[in-house]
Amino acid sequence: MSFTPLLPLVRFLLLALLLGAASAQADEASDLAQKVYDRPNGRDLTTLGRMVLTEKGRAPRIREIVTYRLDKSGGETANLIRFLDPEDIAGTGLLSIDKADGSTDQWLYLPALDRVRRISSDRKGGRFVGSDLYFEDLQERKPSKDRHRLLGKQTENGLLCEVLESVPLDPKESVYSRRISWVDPDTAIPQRVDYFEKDPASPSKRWLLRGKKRNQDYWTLTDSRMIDLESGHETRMVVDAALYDQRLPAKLFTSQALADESLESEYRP
Amino acid sequence: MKKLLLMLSLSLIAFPGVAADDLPPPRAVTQDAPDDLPPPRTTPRKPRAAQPEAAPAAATPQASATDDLPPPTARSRRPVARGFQPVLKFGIDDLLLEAGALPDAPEADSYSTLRASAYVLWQPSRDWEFRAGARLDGMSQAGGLASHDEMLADTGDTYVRYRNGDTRLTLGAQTIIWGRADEIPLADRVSRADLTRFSLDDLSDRRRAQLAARWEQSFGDYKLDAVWLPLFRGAQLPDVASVWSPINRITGQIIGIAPSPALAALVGAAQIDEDEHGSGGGALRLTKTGEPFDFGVTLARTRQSLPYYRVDAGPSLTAIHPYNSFVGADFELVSSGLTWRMELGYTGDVPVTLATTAMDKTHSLDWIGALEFFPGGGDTRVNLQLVAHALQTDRSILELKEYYGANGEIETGFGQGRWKAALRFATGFNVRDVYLGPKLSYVGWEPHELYVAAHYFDGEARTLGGFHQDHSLITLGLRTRF
Repeated sequence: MSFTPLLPLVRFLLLALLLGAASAQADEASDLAQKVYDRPNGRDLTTLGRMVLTEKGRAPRIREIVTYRLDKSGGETANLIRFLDPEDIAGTGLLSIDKADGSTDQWLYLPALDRVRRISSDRKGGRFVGSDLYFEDLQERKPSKDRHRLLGKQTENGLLCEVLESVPLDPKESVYSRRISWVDPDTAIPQRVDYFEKDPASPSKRWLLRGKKRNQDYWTLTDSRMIDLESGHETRMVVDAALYDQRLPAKLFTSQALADESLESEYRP
Repeated sequence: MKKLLLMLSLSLIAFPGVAADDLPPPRAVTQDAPDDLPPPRTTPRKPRAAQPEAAPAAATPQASATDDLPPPTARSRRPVARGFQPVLKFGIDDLLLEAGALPDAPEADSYSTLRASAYVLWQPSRDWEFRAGARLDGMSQAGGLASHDEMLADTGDTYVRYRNGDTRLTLGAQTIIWGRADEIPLADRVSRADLTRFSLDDLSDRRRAQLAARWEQSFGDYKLDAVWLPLFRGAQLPDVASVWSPINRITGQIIGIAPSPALAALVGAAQIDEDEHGSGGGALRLTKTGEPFDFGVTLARTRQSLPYYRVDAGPSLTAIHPYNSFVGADFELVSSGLTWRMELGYTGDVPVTLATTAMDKTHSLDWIGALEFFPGGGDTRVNLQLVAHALQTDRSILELKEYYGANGEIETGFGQGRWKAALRFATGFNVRDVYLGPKLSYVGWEPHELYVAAHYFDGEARTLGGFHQDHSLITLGLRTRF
């Protein structure tokens, strides 16, 4: 019996099967990215923390910060960051409104001038207060802005993780050409993220989770670090205290509160 | 069948969802070695650290969040906000030590500055805040025709503030800088200028506190700001012997006025007085922040702290501060990654000097258009401002009737943010007027800043750069706060 007459049909069926499987895999990857994005994080969150900038042979530089986040209606998210230390930047505040359409409005408060300035959120590749974090790293990137695929499974931090690759649909929209995340499927928490810029083969930066803690039924990433793989410079982010769902008022995320530290200070943990 | 299997194998290899070859190699575990995190700094603003919670099962296997952290201070185990806490803060909010060389100045070869400012802030309740501030300014110029030392003591921001809901009332000496543009915002109508170092410093350091009653009222995205200046104080001027004085006795010039032999003779012999008596007037500013852009409207009937030198009998030059009216509008928006700022203003009763040296009044139109951007989305900031100033008079006057120019700043960081390089600049379009201010700072020794800077002035008569063209300066400085 010859298979020849059936070959086109078999080919078609296999192709359909493969395309279906590819689509299913892509869906699975997108689902995982969405799961990471949707990980329960409270309606609002306040953290007190430290950002530690370290370089070999140099004294570390430490920024103490308080952050507020509020999920507003209509898919809008508001973030307020205030620097508490060192003294030369203490009081400086950054207010970001991430809108449902993916755009971001940002205002910077400069205590010396007592002035709120609107700034462009397109400064994605700028270093945030001299750290290894780019401004883009501070923004919540919607999964729909990337094409995702699963690369396999690998152990990271002692956990068997899904390895997820995310490539921007519009390369101009991101500093990174791609990101690879090691995601714990049980918690949807990334354990490691490799960031690729110009060189598609070698990551330029690496984010590693060092510790997490259960707070009010939410996972708080209490200790992580971003490493510049070329220079070895490292920025460690430590959350000393976190407080969820304290019903932060919307007026905390206005230019008035940005310019008046005392309006937000009583909501600190 | 072999063909089928081959095709299947090839397809599986090419299939993106199972790209096993793209899986990065496992990471070396040694990179996770814990490091030593220094304890938090001791500061009045210091956040209270969290007590580590006894939930080892919830911690990630490789490290707990606080494994190498110092023991945190005690706090309630209940997850609640700290609520209002009385605040008592004090410190040195500005300390500047600067040594400078004046290569071309006949007055001096060197110019050094000491500036120190201290404060105490007490907020006993949610509603009330008290602040007291004091500052000391010392200048020394030596090695020329006008060696001179000067020490000034002054109040810093010293006020009582009351807050309730969307209302904020402040009474006392305060520094209020309105406007959107850098360097010379048009809406800046209620601040008191500090001319002791001319324009060497940034705008915030070129302003001083003055007595004011201020009412700030928010209405959603809108804010109304009302200021009354019950007791006027003119700009803080340097001694007439200082290289930064707006009157130069050596050249016989007054800043902004066309030089002439008659004026030189007058300046050389005249007594210099200042008339500051009375109130400073009042101003209103309404601003809105939010979609689609931020904007502001300003109405003011105030006396400007910058002096106008009136020629009186005697002869004497009297620094006067006549009332003038101001109507201004400004806006700020972000488009295509660029921040656009604009201010437009009309000022009435602007004093000008006729050819006879008599004072006259006219009105002026001013415009500033600013563009701020970060090339390539990186660490370099560029702020470019175009300015236009036009006095609306047909009479012959000694001031420039029109001035069109550009100013701004380019700054960047490098060495992991430990170094900063900046260039402030200003230039005239219709007249030659140049200022260049490059600065290289080491800011890795936080919160201190060590810097080397230069200030280059050049220009025609009646321009700021022209008036100070012999006063180009090279400086080495330390600035800090603690």
